[in-house]
Amino acid sequence: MISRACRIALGAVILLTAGSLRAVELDSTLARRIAEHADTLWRGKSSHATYRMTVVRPDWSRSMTMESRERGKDLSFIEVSEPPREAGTAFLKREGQMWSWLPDIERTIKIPPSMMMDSWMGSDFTNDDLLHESSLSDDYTHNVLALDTVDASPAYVVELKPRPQAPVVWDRILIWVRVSDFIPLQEEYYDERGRKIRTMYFKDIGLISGRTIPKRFILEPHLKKGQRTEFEILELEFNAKIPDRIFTRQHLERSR
Amino acid sequence: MILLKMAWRNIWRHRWRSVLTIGAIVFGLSLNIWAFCLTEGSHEQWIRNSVESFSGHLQIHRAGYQDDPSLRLSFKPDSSLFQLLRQTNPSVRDWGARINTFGLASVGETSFAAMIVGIEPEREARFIHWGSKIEHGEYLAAGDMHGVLIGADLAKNLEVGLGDTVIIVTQDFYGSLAGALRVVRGMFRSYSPELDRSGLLVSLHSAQEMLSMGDRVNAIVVMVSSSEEVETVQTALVQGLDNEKMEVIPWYEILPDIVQAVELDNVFGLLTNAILLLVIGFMVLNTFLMSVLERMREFGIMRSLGASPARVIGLIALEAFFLILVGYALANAIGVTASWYNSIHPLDFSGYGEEVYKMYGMDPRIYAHLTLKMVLYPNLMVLAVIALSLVYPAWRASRIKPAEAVFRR
Repeated sequence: MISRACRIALGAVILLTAGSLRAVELDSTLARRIAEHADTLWRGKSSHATYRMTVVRPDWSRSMTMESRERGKDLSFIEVSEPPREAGTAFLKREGQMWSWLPDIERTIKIPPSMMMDSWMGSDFTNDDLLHESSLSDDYTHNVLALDTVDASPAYVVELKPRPQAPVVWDRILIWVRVSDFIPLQEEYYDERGRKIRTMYFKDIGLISGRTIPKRFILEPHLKKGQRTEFEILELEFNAKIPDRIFTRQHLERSR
Repeated sequence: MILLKMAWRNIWRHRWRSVLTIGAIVFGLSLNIWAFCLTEGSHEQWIRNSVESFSGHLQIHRAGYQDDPSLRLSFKPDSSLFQLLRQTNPSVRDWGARINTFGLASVGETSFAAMIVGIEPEREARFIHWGSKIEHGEYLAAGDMHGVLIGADLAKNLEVGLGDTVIIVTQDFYGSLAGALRVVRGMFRSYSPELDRSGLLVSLHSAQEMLSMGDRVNAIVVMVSSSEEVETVQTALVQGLDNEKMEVIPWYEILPDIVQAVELDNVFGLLTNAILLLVIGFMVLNTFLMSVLERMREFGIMRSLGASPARVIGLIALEAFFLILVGYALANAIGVTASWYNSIHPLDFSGYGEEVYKMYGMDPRIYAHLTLKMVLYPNLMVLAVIALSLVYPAWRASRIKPAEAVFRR
């Protein structure tokens, strides 16, 4: 009798353990797939896009139009076309460094480490945000926390914690993605003191260049009242052919 | 009356001892007065140099700028502000608008952090003596849109000379990367080591253009006719301004490090002072104790003849009083004369560690500042120390037993 009870109990424990292990495994693969999807959503092998960036401040706001060409996450070339005051300003990202062409002085400057945390073109993004796009799938561990709804769509809430030694700024990121297709709806960024520093909202989900993606995103820093930066995709072509010479300093300096 | 006569005679009975005691008082007190006046003078000079070489007595900003300076916290100075400044005359001597920001100054591959300051050259020349600070080259001409004055040390680090071009990279009003080329018109050395190491002075209009500021400015620098009126003018300006929008900051909040350095220097001054006072105290204690112990028999006879202990103490106090009187008269005469002399002819330390003075933004020539306060304080302190050192000898003299004292040999 006793031995039978023992066997049943043991069996139950094994079953329960296996079950919860499978659940965890499922959970982490799901979370990882969500992160990978978020990483590749805007990034084909290459992309060629036109954006409008609007910077909103308590007492003013202004818009800029820019053309961006990217290949992978290491090469990118961005050129401002509007307004006239900024037109011609260009950025080249290559080999983990960033250069900027300033038409006012007709010179290229390399963005120094001391300016990495400064605002990029007056927006709520920093130079570092642009230069070190961290990989949500490689640099973080993932965990599905809950189910939630954002703008009436059911969404998974995924918690991202940086892997040890990962070169990232944030201590915790929460991502809301649509259950149906993993499209991101909202991202919250926390610092090491647990403060919510900024939230990114993804809007206007629609089809562009054969993919369903949010066409507008809004970054809101929480510690600065009345500030936000909006990005709107005007044109976007995935896997566009971009010649190598675009991503060179010669092009940065001589193309105009 | 008899006590007075006795005290006066007692002093001259031991001529040398009295002269030594007076000497100790004269030495200690006159040195103290002189040191007080010099320290006060050097502090005032230090503050004046800092105020007049950059910060001004008061600055008017957008509210919150002092805590979090940024181009965003700027304003368009309007006629009502200038009206207010004119009304506060004659206490307001002059004013000028400024833009302050940070960036990089580079030449070729070298770049250094830079403090970029847009000034109104013609206005500031009237109250900040930029002209006298130019080591090489010339001051900015009115309306110069392409020139820059560069801190002497920054120029050395960048290896630029007159006529060379410096690239300035910074963020403009909207936060965009902004660049500008400026031609070096002159190198300056101010009393601010920070400014010498990183300062780039351009004309206000050229800064406004470079930074897309329109006609906005960060600060109005206000000079008051005398430093005593800073608070009065501050109050008047605060009353006349919309305090939701604007703030008025006095120099001691703009230059807290100078205030702290002065306080630290005062602590060291007091320490030296304490040592000096201790020496005077012991010298006085020594002579008086000697004179009391030597004259035990005399006091014994006084007591035997019917003098009360209080009379004995009175005698000693009177003797001390005469010594202090003579000592004080001499000490004040010497101390005040020396301080007065140094208030006209400065103590010149140039040549002795001039670099160190420069480093702390001080002038190697120190003028004394002679005021009643600076004379009164040392007088009172020395008096207190002498009084303290008299307690024990007087107590000893009053406690003697007449019979024992008279027969003591």
